[in-house]
Amino acid sequence: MAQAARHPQWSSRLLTFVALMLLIFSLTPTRFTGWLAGLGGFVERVVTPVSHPASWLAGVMAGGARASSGDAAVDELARYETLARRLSAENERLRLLIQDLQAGVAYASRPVVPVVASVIARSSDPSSPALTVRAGRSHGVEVSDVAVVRGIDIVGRVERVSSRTALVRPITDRSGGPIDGVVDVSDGGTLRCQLEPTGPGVLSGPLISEYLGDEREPRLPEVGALVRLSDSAWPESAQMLVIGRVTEVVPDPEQPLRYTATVSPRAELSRVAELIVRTSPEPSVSGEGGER
Amino acid sequence: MSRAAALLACWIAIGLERGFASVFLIELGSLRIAPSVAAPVFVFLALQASRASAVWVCVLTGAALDLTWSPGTATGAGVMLGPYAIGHLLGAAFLLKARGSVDKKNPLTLIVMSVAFMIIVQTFVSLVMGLRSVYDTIEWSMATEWTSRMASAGATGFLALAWWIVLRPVTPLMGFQQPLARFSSSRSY
Repeated sequence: MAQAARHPQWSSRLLTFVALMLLIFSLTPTRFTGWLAGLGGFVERVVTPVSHPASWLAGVMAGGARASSGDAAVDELARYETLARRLSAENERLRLLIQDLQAGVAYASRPVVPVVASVIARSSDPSSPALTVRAGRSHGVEVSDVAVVRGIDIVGRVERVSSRTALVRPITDRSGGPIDGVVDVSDGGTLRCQLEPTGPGVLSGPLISEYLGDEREPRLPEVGALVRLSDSAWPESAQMLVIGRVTEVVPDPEQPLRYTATVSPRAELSRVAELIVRTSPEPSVSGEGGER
Repeated sequence: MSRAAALLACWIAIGLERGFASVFLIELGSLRIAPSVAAPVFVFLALQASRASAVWVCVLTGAALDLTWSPGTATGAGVMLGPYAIGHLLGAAFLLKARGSVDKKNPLTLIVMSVAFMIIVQTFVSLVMGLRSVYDTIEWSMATEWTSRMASAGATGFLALAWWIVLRPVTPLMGFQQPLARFSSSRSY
């Protein structure tokens, strides 16, 4: 009888202690709670046998964003266009490399090894569209590697890696920060744009024209034009990959002579079922693709 | 209640929450409405189980949700423990107060209690994250997040109805006693 009476008291004290500890943890800045990642990894491993089939089923229900845009010719064209632009960018890079080498600066270009990774889980909270994929350090994945679908469409970057899984932060996540791109304009030139995630599944930002002539018609991209990555904070191997399509170009309400573009990734990033992580066969030696 | 059955139910619920998150996601402007797949299961268990079991089920599942959240920060993916766990604890306290006056056989009970549970949990999570955003590197828009989460809480009611259809037949297998007989007699905690 006395033992039965003591049990609730003991349980109540334990609960109070746990609640206090949780309160302290919940207010502790994230820079002090990194060590909890191991515990999170353990929970992820435990729930993966359920979340992985569910995620696969969710991908099937969403139509399988990994497959294609529905038009094979359009996909093929986009692939060749990417190749041509990359060669052009590579040409430019080599030209600059020669300049750098002549100036005594060493620079090592790195090849890319694609690793196919299925999405095994999403974040348990709706505010974070982060994807957990089944490819980790044992597959050569490192922090800052770039994840793509259809070979050229950027999904995001790897933010955390364990031995068998990695966390990919989509480019449309608001905490992801700005991303620079280039977009074609109707006269055959390009404009730069600095995009930021602004809403669900979209990025937007100002179009930056280097042209300072007296033209009356502004040089603007057409709706549907592809925006490609051109950002020195991203790995060199990811340059000219596709960020998305222009869905809207409107004058900036505060500066009517400037224009803002809205860009949507071609794949619905929150529903991607499988992606490709572009890994490097060698560990990074240069400052390429550093963490944000 | 069978502890093994409760653990199994929570394991499946959290797995489905993480796997099916994108299926029920509705994006309206800046709102991300994401009904919780798992919350109705936790509520169902909390309504049926003993008080101590109900509380611990909610705290542990909340901790599991915290650890698998990975909020974006300026320095990469963050890890935290607490907001959901304490939110679930507060939600469990509400359920334990309310369950004596509800009809557990009625599907509306699970629907209403799931929505109320989610409102409590998500309000607490929003408050904690809003507070953290003052001194931590977390990006948090209090008004948008809270509105999204309240809409998500409302949408959870639809999934609660679906869960009621699934859980109702398997209730005897989970080792619960007769629901109505249990209310007045069992207070082990």
